[in-house]
Amino acid sequence: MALNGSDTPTNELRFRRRGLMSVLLTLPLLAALFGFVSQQRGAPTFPAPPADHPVRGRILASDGTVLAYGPASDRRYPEGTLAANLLGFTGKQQPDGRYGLEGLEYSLDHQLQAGRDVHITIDPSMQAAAETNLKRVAEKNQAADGMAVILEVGTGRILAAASYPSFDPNHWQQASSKDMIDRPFAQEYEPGSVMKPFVVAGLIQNGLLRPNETVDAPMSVRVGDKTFHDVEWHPRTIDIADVLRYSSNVGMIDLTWRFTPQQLHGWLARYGFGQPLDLNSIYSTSGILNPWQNWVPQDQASNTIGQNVSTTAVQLAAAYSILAHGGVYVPPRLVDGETLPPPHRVLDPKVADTVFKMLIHVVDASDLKYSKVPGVSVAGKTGTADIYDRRLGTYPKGQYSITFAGVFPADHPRVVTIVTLQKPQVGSKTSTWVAAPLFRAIGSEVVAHWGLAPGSVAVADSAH
Amino acid sequence: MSGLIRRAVPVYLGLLLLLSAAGMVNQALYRHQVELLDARARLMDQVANLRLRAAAVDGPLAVTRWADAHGMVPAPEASRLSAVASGPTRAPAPPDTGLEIHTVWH
Repeated sequence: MALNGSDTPTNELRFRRRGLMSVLLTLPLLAALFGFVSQQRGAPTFPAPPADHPVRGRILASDGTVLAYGPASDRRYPEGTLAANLLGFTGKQQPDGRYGLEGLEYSLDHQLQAGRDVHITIDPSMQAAAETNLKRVAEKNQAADGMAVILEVGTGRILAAASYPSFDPNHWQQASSKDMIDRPFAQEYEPGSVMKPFVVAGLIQNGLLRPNETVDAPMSVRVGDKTFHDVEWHPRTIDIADVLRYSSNVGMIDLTWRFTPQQLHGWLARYGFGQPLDLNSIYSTSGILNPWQNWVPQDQASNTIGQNVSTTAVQLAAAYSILAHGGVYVPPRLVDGETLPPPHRVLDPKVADTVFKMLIHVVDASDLKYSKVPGVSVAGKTGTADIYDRRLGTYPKGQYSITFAGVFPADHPRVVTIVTLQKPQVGSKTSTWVAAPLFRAIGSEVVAHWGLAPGSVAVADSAH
Repeated sequence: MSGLIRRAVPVYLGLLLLLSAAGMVNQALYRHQVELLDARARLMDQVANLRLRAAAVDGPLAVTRWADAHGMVPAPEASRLSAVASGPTRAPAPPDTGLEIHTVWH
């Protein structure tokens, strides 16, 4: 009985404890359920995890204009097509961890992903002038593609690098891969006669040529199995400045035999042809300078007149800046703060000056009035080259690459400008009539941008 | 033991209610935060579109195209022109605002 009597309160206590424990266990469950239901009812979705919206640095032009900003998943290019081929664009994260798919967005992805802004040397006004005029002339002449570069003499800063065709990086999905090529850096082409001044400078520097010499230059010459012609009629005997003025292939080929193949190859390499650019901020090609050991005489002759050798527009601009800057090579620069090798001397200042004066003579004395930027003096050279067709394995007729390389003001060089059009289909197909006027159009806008006064007074005739 | 439980249960229940209340407030704040993030995203989108529209008017490319379309030439080329305007220019008509200006001299 005693045992039974003591069992009753123990059971009651156990019963109460169980009830209490049930309540204690149920309440948190109900609370959690309540919280869960309240979260689900009309609760918005969670914001995307931070990994999908990483902070990404901006890309700014030299005057502070914002060219690209925003996270990689929602990158914006407020200036639209301006410098699009240079900037590139972003997309989904790639296996290598990059969000940038083209251009600076690709090559500087690491820096941009770290949230650091990138300041580039591009001047928006000059870039706009280069792009607008390049597009206008390319469309008028139905060129396949083209490029224009403006490079500051003495600093190597690239002020404009325009490509045709182009695209809008805000809608890059609608563009073709051809539209996206950053041509001034990535397209190599045979430049033609714009190479001739470099050969002349090398000959003078090596003591193989005196600037006041004359050359016997008939209108054609045969080298091996190939005949080289001159395009423009000229007297049979001409001096060196006129070899450049008439762009005489025969005169240049006559001079090139003073070089050994190794010497000519060495000079072209010293100017930067066939060599990679020093800058790492953007993808660039180095062009092709074939080993001199493989050259036959036709190859040496072709290299002398800018065929059988390829370059990019930026390389060509850097090489012309040697002539404009007293013989010193300054590595081209696209991004402020990028570490580049120091400038180095390539030519004696007197040699560079002598050849530079010949380039002034080329513009002043020849039919190149369409390359003269009003109000400033210009030094320059044309180049019309055959284009090699890899598919056909030959140089088809009627397909030309036309280039004008110019420096202004020639009395105090500030910029080198290179313009190139590939395969113009209508109108003139020569550099003199297409590339030179394009150079002038861009040059005039650059001079206007500098605020230099026009050379003569404008006449406003209101026809009263 | 039972006395301890009797005292702890109200405290525990009170804490649970507090937790629930904090959870509800938290949910409300969370919803508000998400709304703000959405609004921020919308505004950023709006700013981006406005920047594009602004660049279409005063961006370097737009200015160059506009000047070209209106027959303007860079200053160095001005000396090439013999006629800037083919005839007397007309003054643009004033906007019809319905307002009049009276000037009174004293």
